[in-house]
Amino acid sequence: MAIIVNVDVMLAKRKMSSGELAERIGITPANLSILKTNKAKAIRFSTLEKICEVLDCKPGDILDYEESK
Amino acid sequence: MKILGEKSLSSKVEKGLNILFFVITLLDIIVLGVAGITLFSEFNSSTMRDNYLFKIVLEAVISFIFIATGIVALFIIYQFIKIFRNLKESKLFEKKNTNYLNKVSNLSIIIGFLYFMCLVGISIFLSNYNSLDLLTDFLIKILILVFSVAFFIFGIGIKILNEVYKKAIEYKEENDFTI
Repeated sequence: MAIIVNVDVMLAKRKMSSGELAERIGITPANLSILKTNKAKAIRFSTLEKICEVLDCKPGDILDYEESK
Repeated sequence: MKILGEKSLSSKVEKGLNILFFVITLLDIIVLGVAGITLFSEFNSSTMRDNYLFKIVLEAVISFIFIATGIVALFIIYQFIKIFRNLKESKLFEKKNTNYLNKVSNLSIIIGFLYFMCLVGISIFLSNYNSLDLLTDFLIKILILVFSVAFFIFGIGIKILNEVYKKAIEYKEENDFTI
């Protein structure tokens, strides 16, 4: 997929666990795993907003674009 | 009334289809046997004139095309049994269902084509040997034509609905993977 989700990088920077992030943004760990493994087809603005709020970052820090081959 | 799941309409339809499958199999075997015996006795008792032999061979070909439509119909019913089994287990958006529907559509078009071939065979080759009165002959031909067109339209309709179903599965997957 051309859109890369870099939640892992931000989690490492903030020294936060996946479980804690899932709990604070109010999604299940399974859904967070789907997001982290780039299996997600879409992300709601509300979820993105919460992730940015909790990780104290911009959407561009979490999402990246890579040209597909 | 419950449509999907256990003890629902779909489970009852599945049971009905199982019975229909058994009945059609039985009918196919009986028709195959009767047609075979009739044609064989006709073949043996004929005076072996070329024209009469031609008629018997044609009758045999047309009879076996009709029987073939029954066998193809069995495959269609079997696909529907598998679809309704999935519906009974509440597996609505399964990719397998689209494969089954695709098979149903292709088989329906094949049946439509077989009926059409029968009609052509009867109209062109058997018209000289026709012992039926004009109205009965006309009604039988119209009936076969209606069957042919109906199966053809059914096949195309299922093909289009299958595409809609595929889109629905795609949207569901998208929805499931929206975080």
